[in-house]
Amino acid sequence: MQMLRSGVSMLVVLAACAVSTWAQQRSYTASTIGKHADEVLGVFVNDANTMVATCSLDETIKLWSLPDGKELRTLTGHTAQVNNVSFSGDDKQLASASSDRTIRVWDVQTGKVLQTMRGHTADVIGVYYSPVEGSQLIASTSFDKTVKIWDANLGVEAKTLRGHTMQTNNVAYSYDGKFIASCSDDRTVMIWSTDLTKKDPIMTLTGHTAPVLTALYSFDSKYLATADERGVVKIWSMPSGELVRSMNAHTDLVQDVAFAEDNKTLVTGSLDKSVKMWDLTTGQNVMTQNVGTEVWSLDVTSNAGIIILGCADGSVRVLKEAGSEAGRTNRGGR
Amino acid sequence: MNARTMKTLVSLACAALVLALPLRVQAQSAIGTVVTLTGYFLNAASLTPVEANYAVYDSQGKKVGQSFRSSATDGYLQTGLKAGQTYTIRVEDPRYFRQEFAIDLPATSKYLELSKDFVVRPMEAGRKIKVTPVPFDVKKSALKTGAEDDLADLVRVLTMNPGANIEIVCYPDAEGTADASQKISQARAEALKAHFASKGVSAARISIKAVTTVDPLDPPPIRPTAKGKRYVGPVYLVITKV
Repeated sequence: MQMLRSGVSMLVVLAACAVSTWAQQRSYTASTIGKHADEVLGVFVNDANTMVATCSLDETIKLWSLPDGKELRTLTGHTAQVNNVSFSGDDKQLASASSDRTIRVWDVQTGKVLQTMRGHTADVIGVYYSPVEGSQLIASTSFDKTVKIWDANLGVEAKTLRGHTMQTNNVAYSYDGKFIASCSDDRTVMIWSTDLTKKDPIMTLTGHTAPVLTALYSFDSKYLATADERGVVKIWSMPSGELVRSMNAHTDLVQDVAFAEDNKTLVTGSLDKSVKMWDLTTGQNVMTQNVGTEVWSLDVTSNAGIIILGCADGSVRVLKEAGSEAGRTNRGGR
Repeated sequence: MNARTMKTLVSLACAALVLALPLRVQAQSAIGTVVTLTGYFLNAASLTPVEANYAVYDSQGKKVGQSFRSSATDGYLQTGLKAGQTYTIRVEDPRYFRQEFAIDLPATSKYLELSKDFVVRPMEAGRKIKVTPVPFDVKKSALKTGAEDDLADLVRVLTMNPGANIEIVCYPDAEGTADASQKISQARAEALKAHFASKGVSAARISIKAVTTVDPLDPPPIRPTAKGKRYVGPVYLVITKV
């Protein structure tokens, strides 16, 4: 009798575990909303979750509406591939980084160029608008090894941050506006103060064994996700810089990651043609989707109900969660 | 001190302040707002900092101060200039091509520090100058949109240094048939030569070389590469005479 009870208890526990695991899996349906003429390198969703910007090897930027995915506008002017885009905190402007060595600032409403900022001496790869309300500062990274801070109002360079020993790949502000994270082919991630009088990095995060391609803060600024050319994704506790988790997330390079506003859901995309979603509290993979083409870039709506992908075949695709609305939850966001 | 004396003193003090105020404003205006320009001279080939002699000219072409030299140890330069003015930084050093960099300072009433790097090109026969960004798109031989802007600096260097002759060397994007590689490399080299000639560089100073194999110093990558690293056949200018 006792053995029977133990057996039943064990079955109940196993069933509970199975249900729990199943409950955490998220299911998405894929569709293509449009195409660029060449590979799509950058994706950025605005703060209001009403628009997504994509940029491409075809030298253009496109704006699409969310959640319906209608193409709104094509921004032309860059003279080489556009590597990244970033909306300002108020969604009124868009910054773009290009291999033509410029950062351009666009009026989202009119599509006109407000500023063309020159100063990098090689391709500009990363760009990130300060998320602080009213701030007009933009951070950029370049193959010239530097991180530069620009004043979008004046259209001038405000500061150059030197420290990386190889080309810098991407950059991100923390959402509290206090820090900037930059990553590089030198396999490090550097954390900088946004105080323009400080010129040395606050700390250097080491541990990646391949060029680090991207870095992104969670919305509460407590975590930093970084990804490298070998498909490894690392999660760091900030501002301490303590490594929380390291995941062999993909089998090829990971160029982009995105946080949901719950600060525990991370989405990663890779040239291994897959998109994955992770629960950072457990390290559990809660969604894997093979999209059949290399994924260069991605971003998510605040609740991760919609994932927008920039793909190597030029397509802009969306993964929609069944029954999900595009809008944010009540937790704020970018 | 009685009340009348006190009133008189206060009135005198106020009058003195009123008289002094415009003088102070005039003095500030006469000095003007200073913008500090900082930066580095970098070798075009290696992007490493280098020492170089330079001079600063105002918008009337008048030399500002003496000639300057960037730091011998790290190529650093620092100079104070007036806000709202346009200046030209001219490289005046026999070790490098003669070059000019325009500096347009924003009009501001507050102290401002600007940072700018200056890429200089060593003046040596046989020296290879890599044309970056590559002025062509993958598999195309026409100059890409905007390449004119990217090449403007090279055009200026060539027109400011009429004694220098060059050879344009183009490599293909990938291993292919000799005919196909020859065709695209030749077409690219001719397009670039025509562009320089159209900008006032004598065609007699320019020779071309179409390479049919990929650049051994900068070959196409084997594995997929990260964003921004898409491979286009390199283009070089080789200095054949100085």
